[in-house]
Amino acid sequence: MNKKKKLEPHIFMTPSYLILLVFLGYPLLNCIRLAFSNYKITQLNNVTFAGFDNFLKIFQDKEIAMISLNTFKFVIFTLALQLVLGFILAMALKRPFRGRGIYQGIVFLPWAFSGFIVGLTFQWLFNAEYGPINDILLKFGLISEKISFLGSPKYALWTVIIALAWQGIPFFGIMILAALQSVDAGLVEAAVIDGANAFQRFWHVTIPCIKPTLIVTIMLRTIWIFNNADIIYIMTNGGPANTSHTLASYMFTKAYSTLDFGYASALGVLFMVGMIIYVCAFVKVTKYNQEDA
Amino acid sequence: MKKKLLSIGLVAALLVSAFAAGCGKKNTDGDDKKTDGKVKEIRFMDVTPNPAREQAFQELIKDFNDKNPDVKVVYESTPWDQSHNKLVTLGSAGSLPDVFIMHQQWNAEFTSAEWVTPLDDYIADWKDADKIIPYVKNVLMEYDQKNVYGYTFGIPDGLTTAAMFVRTDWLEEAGLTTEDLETWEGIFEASKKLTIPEKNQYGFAFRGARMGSEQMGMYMLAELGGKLYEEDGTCRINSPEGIEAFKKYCALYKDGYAPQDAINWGYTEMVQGFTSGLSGILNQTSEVVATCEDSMEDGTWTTIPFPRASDGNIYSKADSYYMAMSNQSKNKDEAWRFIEFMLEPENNRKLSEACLFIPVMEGAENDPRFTEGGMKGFVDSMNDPTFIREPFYGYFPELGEFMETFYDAEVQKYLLGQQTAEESIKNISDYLTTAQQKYMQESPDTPIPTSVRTDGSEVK
Repeated sequence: MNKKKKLEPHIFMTPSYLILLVFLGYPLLNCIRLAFSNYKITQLNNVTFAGFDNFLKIFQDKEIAMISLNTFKFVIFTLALQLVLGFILAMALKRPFRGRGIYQGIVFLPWAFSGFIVGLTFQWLFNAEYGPINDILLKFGLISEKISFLGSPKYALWTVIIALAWQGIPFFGIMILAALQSVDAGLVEAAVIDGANAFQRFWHVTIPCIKPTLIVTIMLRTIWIFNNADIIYIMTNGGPANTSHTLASYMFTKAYSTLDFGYASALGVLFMVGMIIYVCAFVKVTKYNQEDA
Repeated sequence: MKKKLLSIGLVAALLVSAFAAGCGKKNTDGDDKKTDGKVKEIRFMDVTPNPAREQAFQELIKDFNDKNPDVKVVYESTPWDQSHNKLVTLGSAGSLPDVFIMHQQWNAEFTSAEWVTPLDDYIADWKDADKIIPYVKNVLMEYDQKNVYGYTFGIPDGLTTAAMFVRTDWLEEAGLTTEDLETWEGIFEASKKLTIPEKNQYGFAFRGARMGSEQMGMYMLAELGGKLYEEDGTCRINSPEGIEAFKKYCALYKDGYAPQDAINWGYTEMVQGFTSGLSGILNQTSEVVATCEDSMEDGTWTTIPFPRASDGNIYSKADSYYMAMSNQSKNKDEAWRFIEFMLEPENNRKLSEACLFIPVMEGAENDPRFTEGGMKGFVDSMNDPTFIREPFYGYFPELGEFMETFYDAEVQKYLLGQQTAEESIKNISDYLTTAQQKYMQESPDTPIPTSVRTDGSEVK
């Protein structure tokens, strides 16, 4: 009976195991296999073992250093913007007010848009000739002549960061708001009685209470931002001169312009290794597991 | 215990219903076939859909389906930007549509992957084969396909070539006429004269991204007499003439005759730039005529033939999408019947009218839709006795990477001042030389990309 009991959860989990195996396990293993093969879609009858050739090719690519740095900037700044603005949004929506439901519905909309629409919209907003952003900056006298945001290596990456940050704010907002609403009011009251001021209440009571949510949300978002390619592809296509590519968009462009899926898979495997290291380090540093125990 | 039973029951019910659904689908499929008799389904995919084009296709398909009760053509489409990726994915999954529209640029990939069916046997019995116009027959079918790949795999369905769209009202204000724009020199001069930054008015619609470098290449190749490679496969652009032409063309952007944003301009942006009154001269293909007719005032614009190079010839391009038949098709004879139907001269004219192509079948010479108005500049370019079709960059498999990720970036680096013209040209030239020479070793029988005249003769 005991043995049966132990097995029971696994029996019921079988469908999910199967789904995971088919939709995650197989592509993952296949990606690793491709990374070590000469695999060009147009030469499928000529697939050979490549050893580490594909990985070597990555490190020999002249653009890869700049693109890695771009990726780092892209992830850090997008995440920081989303976290801070998402937090503010959640705090603003915490207390009930008239029309909160409607307001909530509207501000959470960006999350529901596809990257394609967000990309096109921001491409238009940042347009140097007709874009409203240039127009507003000019009218307020902040700039003296139009700036070509998408056409300049200095700004192109930032336009993409802003677009993606805008899209991701609601997600942080939703997650943090849910966590805030579950903070025990008794704890806050106790802190007030003990003479804690607003900042102390926030730092010593609220933050520890919502920490697990924060950690999971940050971790998830980092991975999603890192893997995001659609907005870049649409807004700048990595240009000018590759200055707004990140590893994900570069991988996508390479995969479909060279049809060299071996090379693209090697990039993908490197991604995965990088992400695993990041997640392990992140969990360790934030003491996520210990907190749980 | 009750709960356990319940959950087991639920899982069982789920499995049973899933199984039943699977079986059920099969059954209905079988029934469908029985009731419909022997109707064979042909999937047809368009890769550059727009409303007018889709309507023309839908009408022709309906016509075909009515006349051929044993075949049912089903229309599918995918936006141009995603079409290459989509077809490649379908091809590698073994589920390409029976007939699809394919672009010349994919020739090398699609033939080497064996995704297309050789059509020569079908063409031999084709009743309309002798009605194809000379350029299409000599250059697009004989020279580009048979000569290079040894067989024909695509039937062109409508010709498109480049011409210059110009703002006639701006020319007038600047004291210029369209005759001043007959040569590339004239285009450069006029771009300068038409540029008035204070009025937000720029001479040239410069395409800096998304295959923009190809437009620069058109001028550079023209100044090289249309010759891209030496006999041994060395690229000829890294030469004083090549570098001079490169600098001259890029000066359109660097000297401010195009807006700064133009470095990020692709097709959409450059066309918008012209139609919205930002740029005065636009190098584009004939489908843009419709956009201009819709959004610009009559009498403010026109099209003129593609400019002549300094040797007096018009070096340009004229290609067509192909109707290709997938090698994965199970109903090839029916698929051919559909292609044949689409190319009946009257049907081809219908499609060309809707898409603003030059028809590939004879008989359109007297149709004012193709000889007057916005189409005139294009037809005149094609009819010019000095018209020379520029060479392709190559047939090597690296072509996609070169065009989509390498070429633009190298040109952009020069436009941004990140490297010199000589460095950019050297990188581009080295890339092409390496790829071409490697390809020549692997496929010694494939000819070197060369310029061709309308009669199919090479420019040596």
